[in-house]
Amino acid sequence: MTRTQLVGLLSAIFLFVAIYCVFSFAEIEMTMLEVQKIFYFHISSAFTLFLAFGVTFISSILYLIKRTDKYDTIAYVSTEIGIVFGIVVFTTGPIWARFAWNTWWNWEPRLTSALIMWLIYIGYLILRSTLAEDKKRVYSAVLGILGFLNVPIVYFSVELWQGGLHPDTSTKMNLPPTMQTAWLISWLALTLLYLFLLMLRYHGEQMKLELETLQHQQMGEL
Amino acid sequence: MHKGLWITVLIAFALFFGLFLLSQIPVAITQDEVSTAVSDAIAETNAQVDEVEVEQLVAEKAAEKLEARQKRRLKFLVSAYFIIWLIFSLYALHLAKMQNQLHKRLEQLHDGLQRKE
Amino acid sequence: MEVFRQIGWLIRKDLALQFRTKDTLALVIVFSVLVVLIFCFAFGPIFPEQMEERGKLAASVLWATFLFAGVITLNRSFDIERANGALHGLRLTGIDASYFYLSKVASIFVFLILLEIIVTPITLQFLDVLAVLPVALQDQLPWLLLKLIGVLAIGTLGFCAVGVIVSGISTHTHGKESLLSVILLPLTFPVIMAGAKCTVSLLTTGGLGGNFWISVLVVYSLVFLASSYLLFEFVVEG
Repeated sequence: MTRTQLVGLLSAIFLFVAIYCVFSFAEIEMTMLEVQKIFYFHISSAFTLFLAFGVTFISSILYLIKRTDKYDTIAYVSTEIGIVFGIVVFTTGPIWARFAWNTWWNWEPRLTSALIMWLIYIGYLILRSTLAEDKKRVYSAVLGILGFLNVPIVYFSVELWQGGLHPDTSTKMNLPPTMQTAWLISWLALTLLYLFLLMLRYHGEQMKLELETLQHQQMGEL
Repeated sequence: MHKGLWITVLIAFALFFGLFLLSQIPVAITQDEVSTAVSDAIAETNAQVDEVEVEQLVAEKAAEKLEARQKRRLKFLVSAYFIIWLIFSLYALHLAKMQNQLHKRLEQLHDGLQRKE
Repeated sequence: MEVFRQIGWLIRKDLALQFRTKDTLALVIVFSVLVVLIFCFAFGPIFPEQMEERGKLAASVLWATFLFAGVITLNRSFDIERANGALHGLRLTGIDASYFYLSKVASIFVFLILLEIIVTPITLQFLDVLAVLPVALQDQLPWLLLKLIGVLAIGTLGFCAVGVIVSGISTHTHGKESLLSVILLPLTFPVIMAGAKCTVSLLTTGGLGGNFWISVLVVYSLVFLASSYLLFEFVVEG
């Protein structure tokens, strides 16, 4: 069993446990009732989104320092997966908002800053796909760093732009123990899922590279 | 391997989610909720005729109302989780497809190279 | 002082290129006025009576116009650098990449400020902002305009700081330079937000409405100027 498969299996098991915890183990919250169960995967996806873009940031820096293609691939792949998690956040968010606040969207700081960040990294992917092959890696690394530097500034400015509707982090810590467990487990499960997808995509990118070198070899022989 | 994994996760999800819905829908409305709803309704109507039949009818009405509300909530919940799993599985399918294609082309190339040697 | 001399020459080169042909300047000014006109047609001919609403409208028109104009200017400026390998020629002279960055930021900044000085009064007149300004503010109109240009200048500096590095990257996209805005606009959201807020409060109260937004504007501009200055080396290498 390879490492990737092991992580995949682990993430599958944890997703399994997480779903059990969310639907059968965690108690039903009093104000939102069943709808509150969206929270577990919504928040965990948001955390994973930030984790993914954080990984992009760090591996972009490492790439600029060490110039190993590995870091560039990780940055690229992590961005892509972060965007998938972003789609989850931005589709479950409105469903929650529609029930809780009776609107599909509100300009709440955390939501807005996550959206801006998401847009930045979509721009990163679009620009990367059009860059010349030899410049691609350095340029994407520069963009990856610039994009992440924006996060705190975006967050603080959006926070003052509009007072928040999301509960404070402190209230999140006061969840009843069963909810807390369910939340932690779903967070862990999604982090593992992220790791699994990251490894899978990384492997895929390496296959692509191998394919390209082989093709070059064949072209050379012809 | 990966496909098998995903199918397992999907089945597990469907199983737990189904179990949850089955267990929640009829039971979630507790006796307490019904009786408070009934007493609320009675207080609202101000009815003096306190016959058993009327109370029965009011109870049915209240239960219906609660059920409708719960149905709305479950609709939100189901759609959210449906979307989450849809996104993840679409992405996984996309990955699997890409990976398979790469595998095939790599093998073709390797075969070609070996034949030459 | 060699540094300043080199940067000074680079800025002179850029500005000479921009102003001798004048096509970019004419293009950008006409474009900006057209954008303002479109907003006027959409909201006019009778604009909201309340000062607050009118101020918000004017601020959004100003910022939208300058962002679009800024993107065009950046594209044009790097078009010139790329044509006939001018950038490579410049690199061969042994000038440090960061000087090139600073000079580019400075020249585009000067260019955009000029544009803003021309277009802002036109916009304010088209939207008839003066009519709803309180009398106290009308008396010190030049002062208000000066403050407005000051806010726009800080915002433009932040915009240029990011814009130069991002367009340095997007010139290598093989004819897809228009993709610049896909990443430049989300990257500059804080500047847009803070700048627009400052402009609104200037146009409605004459003050900045507290120090918060102006400090966001300054901090953003400085952080991105510094980080882009450090990162630009990687963009022009090779």
